[in-house]
Order: sequence, then structure tokens, then C-alpha cells
Amino acid sequence: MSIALAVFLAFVASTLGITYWAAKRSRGASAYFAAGRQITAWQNGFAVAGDFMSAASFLGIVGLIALQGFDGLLYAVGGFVAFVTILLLVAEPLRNTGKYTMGDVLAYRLRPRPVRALAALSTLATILFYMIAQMVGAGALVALLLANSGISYNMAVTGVGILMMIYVVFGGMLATTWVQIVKAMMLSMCALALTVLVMRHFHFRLGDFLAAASRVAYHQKDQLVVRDFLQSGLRYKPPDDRFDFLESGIHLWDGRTAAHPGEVLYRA
Amino acid sequence: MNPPATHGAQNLQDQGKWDRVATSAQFQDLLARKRAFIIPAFLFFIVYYLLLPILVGYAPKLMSTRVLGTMTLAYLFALSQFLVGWTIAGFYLKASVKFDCLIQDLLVKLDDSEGGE
Repeated sequence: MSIALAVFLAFVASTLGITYWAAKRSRGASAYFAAGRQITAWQNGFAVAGDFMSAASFLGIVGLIALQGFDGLLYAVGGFVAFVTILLLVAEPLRNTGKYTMGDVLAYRLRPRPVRALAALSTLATILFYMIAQMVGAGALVALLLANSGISYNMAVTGVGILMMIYVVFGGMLATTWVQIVKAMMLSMCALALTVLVMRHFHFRLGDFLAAASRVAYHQKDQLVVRDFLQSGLRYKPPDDRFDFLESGIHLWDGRTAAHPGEVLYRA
Repeated sequence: MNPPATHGAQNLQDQGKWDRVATSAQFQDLLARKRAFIIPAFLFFIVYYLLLPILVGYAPKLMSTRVLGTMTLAYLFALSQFLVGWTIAGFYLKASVKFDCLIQDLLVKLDDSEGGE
């Protein structure tokens, strides 16, 4: 058994263990959907971080920066800026209401039944499109990790889907929160370890690392090209694409601000 | 099992109480203080962020200047967004403690006036 498969199976086993523990503890609707409203701020913070470190943002942004240099970095910055926007414009007014979900707040201020129905509907609509992208990412990743074990892409997507359903159906919010906390910590440690390994390659000299990034040589259409990954222009060609770049900058901010409530505020 | 279904806004007695709070000078002062922090902080950060794609697109010469070794001004500016964002979040955290004190103060006075009636 390869190391990748062993790590993957260990992670699945431990998360299923968390789900089993949560399922035994969970009693009643509030316990199931909102973990009895007893998740602390730190736990929730880690869980939100885990939500955000998804296949699309964690791997996608790393890939974009690796392939497009500075132009890919915009994706990381735009997503981050959206968090500050949410903190100041959405979370701030909600903070003092003493409620735990977006639906709770709106139901308190308005007529509860239609608000609850609409909150559920909009959440499902947002999550559906978000989930499709995540499932494609997760399936591709699992198929890649377990490439030599005979698991196809379709099997990987189905397997990941069934696993997610087990977490949510049996564990409720308590299990999904703890699964995300474990995930956030593991990914943070992996990112730190990778950073140390990369810097070791450059003898822990930041100058050497940046110098290497400013002249990356690779083959493109059988021709050796040398590109500067610290400059803009690998994706957006100045000056023709400068408006595209600005437009992306704006969309990454407003799109992320709109998307975070789907992935994050449902939890907040 | 479910939380008690008291909707503050729908309770007439509560409604009168909260109306008085809403018009009180102390509450208006709290709102003004919140606005005085939130609006400038938000506008500053958005302008700071949008300057990045604008400057990179429209002043590429300036932004490709090497500032620290091979590090470009554009890259440094992009990374500074994280620093500025965290700083603003830190300021907000400090301000929110002050807001909470004001709110606590307001609630204590409200209870006192209720007791006096």
C-alpha cells in the first residue's frame, strides 16, 4: 500500500470516528443542525478556516500562483479582502444579536416561517453550485492520489459524495465542525512543512528564492522560455488586458463576498 | 426542546421598551461611534485593495520596479494587503470591546429605569 493511500485511509477512518462520536452525542434538531449552539468562537474559527481551505481555494490558488505567478496571486488577495468586507459589513451588525445563524437573525427580526424557508432555499442553491466544483476537485484529487490502485474518476466522485453524506447525515453540525477543525490543522501543518522544505532548497535565503522566482525557465511549445513570476503579465498581457485584470480584481472581491455567506456565514 | 418562541419585536411591552432605547441619546451615540469606525475602515481598505489592480494595469512601469532584491513593488503591495487587512481586523477587535462596554452600560441603565417605574 502506498503512503498516499495509507494517509488517505487514516484520515477517512479518523473522520468517521468523529462522526460516530458526534452521532452518539447529538440529540434533537438544534443539536443536529447547530451543534446545540455550543461551538466556541475558536472552534468555529478553525472550522471556517477548514471550510475555506477547500480543493478550489487551497489547491486552486497554489496552482494559479505556480503557473501564472503574480497574476495568480490576485486570487489569494481578492478572497482575503472579502473576509475583511464580511467582518465589517455583515458580521459586525450581526454580532450583538446573540444569534448563531443567519436564519436565526432574520427570523428574529422578520416573520419566521417565510424567512426560514427562503434561507434554506438560498443556502441550498448556493451550496449546490459550490458543491459541484468541490466534487469535481475532490474526485480529480482522489483519482490522482490513488492513481495506481485502480480507482477511476467516477468511482472517486461517488465515493467522496457518499462519505460527505455520511458525515452530514449521521454527524450533523457537530461532526462536520470537528472534521473541518481537524482538516484545517492538518492542512496548516502541511503548508508549513512544504514552506520549510522549499526554503531549505534555497538554504533559507529569501533573496535566493525570489531570484529564482524572477527567472523561471520552462518549455512551451518545444521552446525554452524564461519568465519572471514576480511580474504581472503571465495571464493578463499589459497593456491590452489591464481592464480584464481590474475586472478580475473587482469580481474576486465581490464574488467572494457573495460566496462566503454560502460557505461561511451558514456556519457563523 | 426548541428555544422559547418569544420574538422581541412582536412583544408589545418589549416594543415600547426598545422604542425608548432606539431614541435615547446614548444609543444614538453608540450607533454614531460604530459608523465612525466601520465606514472609514471599510472605505480605506477597499480603496487600498482596488489600487492594486489599477496600478498594476495602468502604471506597469512603476509597479515592476525592483524594491528588495528581485522583489517587485507590485508583489510587495499585494502581500501588504494581508498585513493591512489583519491590522484593520485588529483595530476592529479593539473597537468592538469599547462597543460592548457601551452596550453593557446601556443595558444596565435600562434595567435601572425599569426598576424605578
